[in-house]
Amino acid sequence: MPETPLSDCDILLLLEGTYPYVKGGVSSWVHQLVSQLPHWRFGAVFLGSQEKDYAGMQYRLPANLTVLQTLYLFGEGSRPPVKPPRLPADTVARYTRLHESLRAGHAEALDFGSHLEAGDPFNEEAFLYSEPAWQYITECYEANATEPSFIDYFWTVRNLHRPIWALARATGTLPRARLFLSPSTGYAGLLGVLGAQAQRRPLVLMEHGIYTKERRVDLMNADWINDARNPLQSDPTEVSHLREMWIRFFEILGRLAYRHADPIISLFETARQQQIRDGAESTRTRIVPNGVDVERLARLRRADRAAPPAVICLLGRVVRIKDIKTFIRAAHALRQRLPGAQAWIVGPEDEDPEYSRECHELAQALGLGEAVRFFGFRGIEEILPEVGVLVLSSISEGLPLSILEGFAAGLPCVTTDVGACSELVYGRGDEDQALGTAGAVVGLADHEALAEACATLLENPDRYAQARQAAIRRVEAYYDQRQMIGVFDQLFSQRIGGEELR
Amino acid sequence: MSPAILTHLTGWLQPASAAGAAALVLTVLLGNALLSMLCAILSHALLPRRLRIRTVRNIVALGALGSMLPLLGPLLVLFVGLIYPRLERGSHAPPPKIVRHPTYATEVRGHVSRFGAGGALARLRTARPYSDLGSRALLAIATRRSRDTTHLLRGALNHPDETLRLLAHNLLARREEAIIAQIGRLETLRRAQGLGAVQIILDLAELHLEFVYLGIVNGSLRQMHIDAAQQLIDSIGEPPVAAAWRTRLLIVRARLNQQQLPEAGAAQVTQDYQLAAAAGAAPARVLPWLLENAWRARDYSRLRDLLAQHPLYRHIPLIGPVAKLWGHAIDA
Repeated sequence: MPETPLSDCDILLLLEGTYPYVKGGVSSWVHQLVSQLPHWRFGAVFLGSQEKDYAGMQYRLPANLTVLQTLYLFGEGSRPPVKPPRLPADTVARYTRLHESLRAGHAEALDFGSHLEAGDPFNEEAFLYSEPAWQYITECYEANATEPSFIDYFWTVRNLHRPIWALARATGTLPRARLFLSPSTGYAGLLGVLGAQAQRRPLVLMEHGIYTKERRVDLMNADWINDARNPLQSDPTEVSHLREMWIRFFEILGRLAYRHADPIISLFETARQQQIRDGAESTRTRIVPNGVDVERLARLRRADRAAPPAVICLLGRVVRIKDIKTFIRAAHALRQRLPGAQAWIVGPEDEDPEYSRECHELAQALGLGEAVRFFGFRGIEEILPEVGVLVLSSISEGLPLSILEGFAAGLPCVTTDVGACSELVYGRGDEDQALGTAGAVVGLADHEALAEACATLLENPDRYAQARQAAIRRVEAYYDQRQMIGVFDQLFSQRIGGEELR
Repeated sequence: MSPAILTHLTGWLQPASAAGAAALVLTVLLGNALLSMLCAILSHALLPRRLRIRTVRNIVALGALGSMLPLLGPLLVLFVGLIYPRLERGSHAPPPKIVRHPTYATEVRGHVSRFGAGGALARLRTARPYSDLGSRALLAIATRRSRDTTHLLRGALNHPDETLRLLAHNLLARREEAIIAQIGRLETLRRAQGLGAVQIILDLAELHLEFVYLGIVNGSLRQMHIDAAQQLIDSIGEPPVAAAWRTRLLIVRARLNQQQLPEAGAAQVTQDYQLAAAAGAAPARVLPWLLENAWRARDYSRLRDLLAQHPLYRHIPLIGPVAKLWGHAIDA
């Protein structure tokens, strides 16, 4: 691939809370993509909350990842001095127009090059300390806010805008790239839009989960958003105004990214439909499923007729979204039927130490002792050959790599009905379904059903063998990483080539 | 009327031209039927989407009805098509089978009312996936910690809308964590106070029973919490008659029996509560359990007796509306 001397890299990855500082599905995917495409030069911008929230580099960076920048959106950055600037007379009207454009999803309104200049009304200093900004926020409060106090409203507005200035400043210092690739909407998606606009390059969006949906659920339950409604004001069916503001903010970020990205990629059909509902144009959406190194993982398979060990294993971070507690409860129920059964949890525990502690306490309270083992992060090569059934108890997933890795290693899977898990177990389309059922799918948080499905597989050698064969055939036919890498290689060539011909 | 038509009609009335008249009648009826069918198709298109079920059957039925009345029939069909959606605006779509009624409370209202568990249930059953209505229903019951709302949240875990599933899971987890946190605090206190902390032990037993009563745990874990409560109560031993906490122990024992005994043991449980009442337990601590027991057994005469003994219950803010509702059910 010919290199363009004017660019620092070919593809710039915009990574929010993932690679290379956090382990997980998206990080594994990024590492896999970069490693498998050595003829492309990659760059990466890591977006995080604060530096202290991350333990350090979790991956050995491939040689073709030539640039890495970090940006902490809520760090202790320098604030502009408190000095009310002089602004044009139409400042309030411009604020109004800008916010209306953003609500409609027009990123053109965000011409940050000019907004950062001194004297511009949308400059950080101007928005934080100018009289027109105060007037605008006050008018918005009087016109729109329902129940929050003005103080709560005022600080929420400022906090909503704060990361935008950080991203705007970062836009000017981004590595020069030929294509921008973001694995999520949100802040990373916004930086992608701004960077792509500033450098006049294409933006590709590859969503593993659906960011807007995840933020919506987080925000509905967030304790840090003050809900000051008293019982007389409170309509329990209404989301509080401040919560609503945050939700709408992330919806706007999602629409902005969808409006400017091409293509908008998802892992499976349900996710694609969700993107369309959230504002993506259907003609620009496409599906590229995950893939794993089947050839390497095939070496971990046991002999065909070997009895499976009574070990169920969950590969994943110890975080709430993986619902590790349901897995532990399932282990308790399984041991009522198979007293010698063991349950292994293989994944880092540092992301949510509080939840991790609760999981340990639950295992202890259930008297599971050594039957439940927390391994921390381990290489799958040493774990999978010792496992009978792979389990996924998550409450939300995309297309989990852990199931594909288990399939490639000859392990059937019992999973909750989330994301593409059902497709993976039963197949999608007639041809795929004809390969057989590669395990079982159960409802969310249903530990009894999870245990029952695991026991059925472990106790029935014929059923186990059938599920194992279906798993191997399915991953070989549809989820080999060579297919996925090939699609992205071709996509990069098309988008970069097409852009340079213009 | 033109002379040609008059001539034609005259001819039709004459017996000699009966064949022509029959043909004309058939033509009119056929034209009428076609017109009716056209109106029926139009009417069907006017129906709200949720009512557009059994398309072919409905169109044929409307068309057939319209064809009975020459000229007026098709107009009537069209008229029905125009007003039907308005008449049906207040009716309810057939509920999807995602969220079911709890087996112990089939009386829960199946139509949208205020936001109790019944209203939330109705909204969850009728809300289209990905609309806001379902999330609002769940948020409304978030703070109503009861057995039926837990059941509802558990049912919502199978909803096709992932946002709702995640929200329901989160709300269930919060319920569980709230009780676990209380247990944790009490265990710390219990260790600090040593063996004499009877009230704390009773609190702990009640919290274990709360897990079971609220339906937060099921399967093998349900039994585990019942066993934990049993062990705690056993650790206290038989109370002295004069002990201030004796009535409370009797109530906890009754609650324990309520969870342990199958439905057939309702009489035993009632007896346990009556024993607690006889030992001096406040009616407010005993009566709700007795009322609930009677209600779950659908023993309305017993409900009537209990409410007659304690008429004040109809005026207590939290229990009053329920007592009144049951009173209406009894009267009915």
